[in-house]
Amino acid sequence: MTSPTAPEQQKFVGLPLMVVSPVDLGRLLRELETIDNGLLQQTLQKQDPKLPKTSKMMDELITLNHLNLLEKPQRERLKQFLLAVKEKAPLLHMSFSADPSEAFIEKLMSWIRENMHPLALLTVGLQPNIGAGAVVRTTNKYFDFSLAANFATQRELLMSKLQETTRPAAAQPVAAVPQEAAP
Amino acid sequence: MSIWWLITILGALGASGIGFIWLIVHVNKGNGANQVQADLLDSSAQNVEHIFNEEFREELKNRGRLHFEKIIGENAMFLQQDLRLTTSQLNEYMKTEITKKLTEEFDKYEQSIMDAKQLAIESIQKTNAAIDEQRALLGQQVQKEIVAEKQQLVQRFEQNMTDIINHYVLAAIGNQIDLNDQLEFILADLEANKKAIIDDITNGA
Repeated sequence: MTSPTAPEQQKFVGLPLMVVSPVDLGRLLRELETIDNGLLQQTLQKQDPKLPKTSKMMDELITLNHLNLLEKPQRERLKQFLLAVKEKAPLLHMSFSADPSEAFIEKLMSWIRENMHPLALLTVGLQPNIGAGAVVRTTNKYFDFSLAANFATQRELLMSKLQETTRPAAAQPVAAVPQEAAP
Repeated sequence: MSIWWLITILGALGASGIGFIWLIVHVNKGNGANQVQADLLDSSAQNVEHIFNEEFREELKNRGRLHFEKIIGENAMFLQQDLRLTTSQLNEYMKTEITKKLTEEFDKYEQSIMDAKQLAIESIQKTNAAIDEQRALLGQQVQKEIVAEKQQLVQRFEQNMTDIINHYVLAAIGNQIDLNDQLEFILADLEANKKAIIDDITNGA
């Protein structure tokens, strides 16, 4: 997969951390289309162009990339950018044992976009049985960072500890546990 | 024996009568033969008639009847004794034969019972032997299965030990594990596999 390298993208700084998944990109595209239609209607009605109320995600995107959506070329470039990102941006899927909070996702996306790819997208899944950690699935690979996988890598240590614990118990009779008198 | 005595007495009486008649005939042979002879004959006939008169014959009949009744009584008595003897012998014979037959039958019956008992004992012994054998085989088989099951359980435990421990940890402290606390470890894992992840997301299909 190649990262979006169209000329118009070079003017874009990137995606805000709120934009996480392709679903968010779809929402932005739909909102952009709504904005475009609203502005077109205002133009046809010969009113002063006024940007309708936008979502927080769109606000951050506009602010981050210094865009003026009242200008149609910029709207078109943003649309092309979003479509290109949706089509070509690298996508990761991460599963957690619990539903992650927004702050957690923001921190995670910040690290991913700083260390892996500035336009990387993430889809979040839920796997309660992994206990702790995460499971990462990329295009062709599967990375298990869960607690169970960690236990599996430490299996020999577990076995040795288990044998150390069970062997003396099998060799020696179990001492009677003194019972405390009930108050 | 009485009949013979009677016949002897009658024979002696007849012989004495005939001798008397012959003596009279020879004594009076010289005195007028025909007249004397005729008188003698009449006299002898009268004597005979006198001797064998009705009373004498009746007495003889009575004697004969009594003797005959006596003989018949004796014979009846002998017959009764013989009959009793025969009956007792027959009873004894019957008793002996019946006892013998019963003894034989009882012996046969006892023998057949003993044979049946022996057969039953042999059958029970064979059954017991078969049961013991089956029990031994079953015990060995159960022992093998127990050992195999134990090994399988241990093997399964060892294979799924991580899942078991993971499940235990989750059940024990799962509610206390906060996802925010795990971020540092998750980022460390991502950092450790960063190159592989980047290669895959940038160069993957």
